[in-house]
Amino acid sequence: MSSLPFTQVISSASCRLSFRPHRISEFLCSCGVLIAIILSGSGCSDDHTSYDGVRTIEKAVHPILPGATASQRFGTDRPTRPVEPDPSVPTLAYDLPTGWIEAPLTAMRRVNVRIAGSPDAECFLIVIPGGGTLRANIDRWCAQMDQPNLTDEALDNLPKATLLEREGVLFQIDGTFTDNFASKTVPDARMIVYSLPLGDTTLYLKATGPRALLMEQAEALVAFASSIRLEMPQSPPPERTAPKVRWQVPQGWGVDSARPMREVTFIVGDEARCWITVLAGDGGGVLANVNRWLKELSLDPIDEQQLSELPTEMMLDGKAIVVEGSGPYASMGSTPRPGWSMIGLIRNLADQAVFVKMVGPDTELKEARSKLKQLVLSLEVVQ
Amino acid sequence: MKSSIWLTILKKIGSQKVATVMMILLLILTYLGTLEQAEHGLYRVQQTYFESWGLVHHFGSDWWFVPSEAFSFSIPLPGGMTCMIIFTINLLVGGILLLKLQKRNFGIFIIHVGIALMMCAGLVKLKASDEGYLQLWESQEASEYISHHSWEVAVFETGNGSVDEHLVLFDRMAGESELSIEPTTGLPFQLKLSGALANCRALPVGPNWTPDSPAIDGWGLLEQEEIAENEQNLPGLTIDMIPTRLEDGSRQQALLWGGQNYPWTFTVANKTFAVALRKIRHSMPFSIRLDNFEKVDHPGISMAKEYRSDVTQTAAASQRKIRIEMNDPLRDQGLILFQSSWGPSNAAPDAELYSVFTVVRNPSDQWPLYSCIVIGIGMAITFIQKFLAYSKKQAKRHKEIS
Repeated sequence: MSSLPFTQVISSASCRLSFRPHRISEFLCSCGVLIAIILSGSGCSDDHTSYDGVRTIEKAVHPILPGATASQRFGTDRPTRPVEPDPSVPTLAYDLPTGWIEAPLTAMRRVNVRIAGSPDAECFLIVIPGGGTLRANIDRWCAQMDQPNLTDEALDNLPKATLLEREGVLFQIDGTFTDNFASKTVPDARMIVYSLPLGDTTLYLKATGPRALLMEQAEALVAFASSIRLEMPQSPPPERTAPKVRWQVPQGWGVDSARPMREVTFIVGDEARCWITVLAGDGGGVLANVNRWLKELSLDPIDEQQLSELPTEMMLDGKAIVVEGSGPYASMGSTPRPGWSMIGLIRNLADQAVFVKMVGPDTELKEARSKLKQLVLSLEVVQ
Repeated sequence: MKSSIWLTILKKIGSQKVATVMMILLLILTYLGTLEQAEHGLYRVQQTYFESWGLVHHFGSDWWFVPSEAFSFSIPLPGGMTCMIIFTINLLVGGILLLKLQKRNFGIFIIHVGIALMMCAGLVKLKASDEGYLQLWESQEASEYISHHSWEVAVFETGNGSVDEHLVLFDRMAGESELSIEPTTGLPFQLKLSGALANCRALPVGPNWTPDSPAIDGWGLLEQEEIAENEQNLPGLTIDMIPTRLEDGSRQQALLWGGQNYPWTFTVANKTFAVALRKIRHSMPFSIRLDNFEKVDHPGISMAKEYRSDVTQTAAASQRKIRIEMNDPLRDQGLILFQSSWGPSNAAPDAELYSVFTVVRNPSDQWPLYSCIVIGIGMAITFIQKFLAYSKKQAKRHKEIS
């Protein structure tokens, strides 16, 4: 049985027709090299002392707690997932003093900042259902500061302080601060706690850190505490809907199919067309547009002085600049059409510009002139 | 003479006997691997039985009346990788190179080309693809997916704005007691990684246990037996940071653990750097935002009947809304996003759920399809040829009888 012509080609490609040893060994070597390349392709770098690669990302994906202790890094108080605010629920807001940094929020901490960026000085707000008695909490804080419990008299005379626009109690103590949660000790420390019972819960704003630093940041801390507020999340501004331009089609004109950038295109005559364009702002400027139109007719550009001398027509309750000209009309690289004319009107509104442009053979434009005036007068803005 | 030796060798390599032996070995590996999967988990079995050069399989008695010590032995076996490579070479040599290509066996040739393409697809997937997951809560957006199994150490300078993450693959620690990483541009310090543990827990050091790592800051790493479900293993290691210049700071040591809440941070040359031990993160050329996740349960029970995600895909200059559901993935720019899971599994009936997508980057994603088409064409040619030959033979026979 004879071989097919195209199978011969394939056969020759696969060396069937010439089993020469060097061809076969070449084939096997090629297979071996190919497999070796593929198998080694995803291997690690031979350089055992360098990084495997660099990845550039827009922002860090890990919550960062500068100077976090092992207890904070490995403990059970995990950072919480950043949640998009619910527009119907008020959220806690505050003004962060200069130099202070925000730390990741946790299940307990609704506000969490580092005072002056120091890893040893922190300030956080926690909300505890019930919250325990003031006496029990202050005794616990005294123990944390390695100080004896407060007397009843001192407890009764604790100064008042404002938190969330309500009156609470302010407690301040110096000593050696032991944070069992973070497993760290700060000698010569200060603790300042704002306590505010609120319904069934109690809010605590607690600041701890080196005493010298807290004294230095005392004013900032007061400002920070008084800035904490409940705020409705800012909803995105409603989308602005630009006012629409409305018109009446002059009798005898037809409406052409939709074109990009144009509000409408009218069929004026066999070749003449008229269209309305609305652009945001000033649409690139009156002078630039006028000169662009003149260029389409191979006419010389004008300057500001000449622009101010152009005639005007009433359009959309104001004066629109009228540009007229004749010449070989060519737009967007089209073939120049001699004997054509153009009438254009430009009216700048508060935040948009309206352009009416009619082009076509001279004779058709002369006939359509009165209809163009009707169209211009019929224009109105609908909000 | 030489030519005939080569030809003999080639014929041996491309013989049907070799193909048969390889197919039987692959069948045995599939059988044993499937059984082992129950005990050792999918990932480890896949690596041991199907992606290895060789292995030793231990047979033991599973019957209560036969003591395991009386019936226990081990046999070495070639791994799936070895078998597939030999099988592919056998196919290339026997089915393509040595095939005397003629009209009557052209279909067979096409079938072999199709099978070879299928083999190539497998090899490319094994070596050039990666896979991970993307977990999103509603209104959350991400442009990266996380590997299921592989870990890395990421080193970066903290701060706002764009971040350059310098990466060291955790697998490089395999068999190494210490790995030294030299300073590089933007990272003025040397890193020494040591004491890698495949699965461990970070615990406060107490009087009743000695950590399997240095005790640092009152904490240590306790090695644990590797879990069959590899995704649940949490590795750990010890890291030493040595500033390039003495005046930039002092040497520091810390523990890195896969389950840590925050990266380890340190300051060198008045800059703060962070180091995280984490599962490998792959950037995507677009971002995915979960707009809505919907789970429909079977009537009366909380078992999901179907679940789907409405997402917004944002690329550099475009944005489009897509629905991803089971058997209807998103395919774009070489990535495939499958709707694979949801959670939390113990969520209350009205609780918010997150959606989990499996993300696969596979350059040979469509090759099996092309391979099946090629094989189908080859089979069609072969069947038509056989049918025509049979018809011709029958017609001749009828003619002879009549």
